[in-house]
Amino acid sequence: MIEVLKEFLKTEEASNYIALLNISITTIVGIVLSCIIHKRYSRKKSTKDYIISEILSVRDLYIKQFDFLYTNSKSAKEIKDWFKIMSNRITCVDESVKKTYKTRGLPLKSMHNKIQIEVTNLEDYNNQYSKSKVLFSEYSKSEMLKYHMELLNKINNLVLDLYKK
Amino acid sequence: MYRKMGKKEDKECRVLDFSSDPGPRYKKQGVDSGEAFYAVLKKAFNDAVKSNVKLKIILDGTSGYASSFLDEAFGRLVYSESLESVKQRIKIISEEEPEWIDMLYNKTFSEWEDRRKNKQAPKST
Repeated sequence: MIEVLKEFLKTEEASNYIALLNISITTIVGIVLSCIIHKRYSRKKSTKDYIISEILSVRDLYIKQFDFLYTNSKSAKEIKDWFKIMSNRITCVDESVKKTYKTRGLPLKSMHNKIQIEVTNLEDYNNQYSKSKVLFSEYSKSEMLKYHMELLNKINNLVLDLYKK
Repeated sequence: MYRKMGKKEDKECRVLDFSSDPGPRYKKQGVDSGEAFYAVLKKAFNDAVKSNVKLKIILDGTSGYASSFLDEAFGRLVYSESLESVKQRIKIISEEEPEWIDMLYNKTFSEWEDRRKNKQAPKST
């Protein structure tokens, strides 16, 4: 049997069959590999896009909130409650980033906490706690504007960094 | 024969039992203030000292905090008891917003310990 096989392999027909088999296997492996790589790439891209969209929604919520603060549109309680909700939201995004990119987490969290501490410590805020709307002084507004700018810069840099990954 | 002494349990103080919606810094600024909570905290602290156990203070479950509330309540405790005594006795739990623990340990405690040393008494309103 082995002798027959050896004889067959010496023929031109056999080399055609081997060439055909080679092409088939190469093609199949190529297709399978490209499917796997494409799937992984798509998954990675979708995850990145999702995280970036979450960070941008945090930015948008902050822009809206700062508008309310500048236009004296919220009570102290509403401001306080909003900060807590945002803390939870940012923590969720932070956990996703840490898990996905195996990093220490977002600088966004510490920035948010800084703003929360500073705004809810303002004299304007505490003195008008019982009122329906807090009227912030020009000094308080200029302080909040600094935090606002710092936060927007951090978010922009963060999104650009994530796009590079 | 010595009787085996059971381990004493730590005392617990939940801010939620004081208020589900903690308020501003001072009593004159609104209800459920940090200044008012300090009285609750001080009593719990004294009880823990008497029983020689730790005091667990749980921040979770409320609608959220103004930093001034926590600063006033815990700051006053440091002012009256000293930083070392407070750090040895209490454990703060805040799973929802662990950043408050950072603020208290890294900012509030040291600032109020300096005030204690400089005899800058807190306001009573």
